[in-house]
Amino acid sequence: MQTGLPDNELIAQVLKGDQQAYKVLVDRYQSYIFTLAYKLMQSREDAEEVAQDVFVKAYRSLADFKGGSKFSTWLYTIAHNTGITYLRKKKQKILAIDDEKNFTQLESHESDFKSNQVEDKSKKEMVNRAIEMLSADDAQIITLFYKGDQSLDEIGTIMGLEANTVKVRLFRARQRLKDKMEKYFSEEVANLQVI
Amino acid sequence: MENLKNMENRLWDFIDGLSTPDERNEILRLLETNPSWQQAYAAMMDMNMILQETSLEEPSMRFSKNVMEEISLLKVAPATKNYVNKKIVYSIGGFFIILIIGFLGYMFTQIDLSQPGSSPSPVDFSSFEFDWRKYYKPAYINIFLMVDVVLGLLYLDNYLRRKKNQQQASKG
Repeated sequence: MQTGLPDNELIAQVLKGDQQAYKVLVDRYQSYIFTLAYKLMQSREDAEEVAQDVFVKAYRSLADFKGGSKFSTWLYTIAHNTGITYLRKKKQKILAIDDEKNFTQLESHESDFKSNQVEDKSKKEMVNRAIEMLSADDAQIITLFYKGDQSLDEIGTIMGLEANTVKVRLFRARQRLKDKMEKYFSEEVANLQVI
Repeated sequence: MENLKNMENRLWDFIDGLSTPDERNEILRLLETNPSWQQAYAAMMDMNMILQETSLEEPSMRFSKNVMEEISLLKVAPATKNYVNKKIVYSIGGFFIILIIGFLGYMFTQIDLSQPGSSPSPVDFSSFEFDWRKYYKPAYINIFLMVDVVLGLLYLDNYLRRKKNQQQASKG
């Protein structure tokens, strides 16, 4: 069984011609890549297309992965760049960090969300929905930090930012997330009040 | 407000493991003695725990199968360093550096530093003997422009063909 092998050994096997070893890597990272793509695209169909493209690109370029970083960091970098390129092609605008201008878009997202509040009772689901309301950059940083197991430096590499900038953005993203949760889940997050 | 932000900032650094040892000790002391710090810390830890427990989105059941089907037709491309000859890259870089140094060197040799007031320009253009007219003839420029136009048309033709093929593929 190859499923327990570390990434680098699986990559070595793929480079020797064992294509099936790549399936283990796909299975291992598909949820992470899909989640990242979904945060950017806000559409399951587009996210699936982008995620598939990421794995194909990564396979083609696997010989260029030298192990200087974690495989996941390298893969997330491809995912980030592919997502941005895909968005540009579709002429969509990425939500900026200071998202005052995107208020209308978020509001429409939030109204959908409000109508479904009754159905979403679990705390995890509540947080996921609140993350969906954030800008693409905020959602990506939170996902990479908490779910992707990436350090601030690694997130900087993935998103082409300085580690300090990532730190500030992460802080702001958490603030905004807290605001959303307080606004739409005041009862559930009563114990999350800072002051 | 600034104090609140500062406290939250320091606490997130503490929770994320980014504080220096001295800062850690200071925060630990504050957490033992200051109720507002204790309250903020508890709330942020709760938030941190929830964020760590959030679930990932799952792609469709066929996702990995689709990827494997697609890559079954492909091969891993050779590493970039195997086909990018660094000697060529360095040679091109070296050529331009020598060119820049040459131009700069020539420019500096033409500056008359001994008599700054005698000439309106610090560069003595009278000794500039290079005759550009020998090389820049209208015929050469016309040929150059013609080649550019032909290349432009070829590129446009290629672009339009690709567009047409894409449209046909999406219709089909």
